Amino acid sequence: MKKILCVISRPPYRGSHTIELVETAMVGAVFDFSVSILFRDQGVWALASNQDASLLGKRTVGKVLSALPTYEIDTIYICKQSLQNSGLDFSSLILKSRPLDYSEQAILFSEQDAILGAQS
Amino acid sequence: MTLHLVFSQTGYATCEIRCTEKDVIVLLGDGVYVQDKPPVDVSVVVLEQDMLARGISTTNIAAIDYADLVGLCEQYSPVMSWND
Repeated sequence: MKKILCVISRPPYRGSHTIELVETAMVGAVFDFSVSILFRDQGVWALASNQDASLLGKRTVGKVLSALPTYEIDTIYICKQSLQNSGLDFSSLILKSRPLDYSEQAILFSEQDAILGAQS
Repeated sequence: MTLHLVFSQTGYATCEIRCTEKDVIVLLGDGVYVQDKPPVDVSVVVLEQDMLARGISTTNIAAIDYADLVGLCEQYSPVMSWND
């Protein structure tokens, strides 16, 4: 089974990067890829609770993310340092995730068959 | 052994802290503006065409051409792109 990692590195409401990657992850899971997701740098903001993007006339990213477990995508990682920099409270994040430091992330990358992230 | 394709200076900063010693970093696109001393254990190369296009002629980083880049993509897995 091919292992795919989606890396979410941009803030959730900047363009469609986050939603597109999450949807790609869901499609991958439907086609039996072994999909996991890493949130790093400003991407960790996607996990903040109580988002309401209707105030912006946009889809709420947090709501889309909360559907991931129904696709059996439950291997979620978060960059330890990015989490710390954000000041977010780990226990309040909308998904259960495993914090990784930089060297653990490097090992995670090496274990994948393919890695998807923001383009250009 | 991961191949890191770094397309910007921001991408370089976020990439080089997440490498292991067997990895290779390729600077291409706007990544060629990176002038930092490479991390000690990780190989860094720069795509010559993108460098010359941007008027950068001197670098202490080894230059490669597209054929070399293809070779690296065949040799290393996975391949990871860094834009930010």
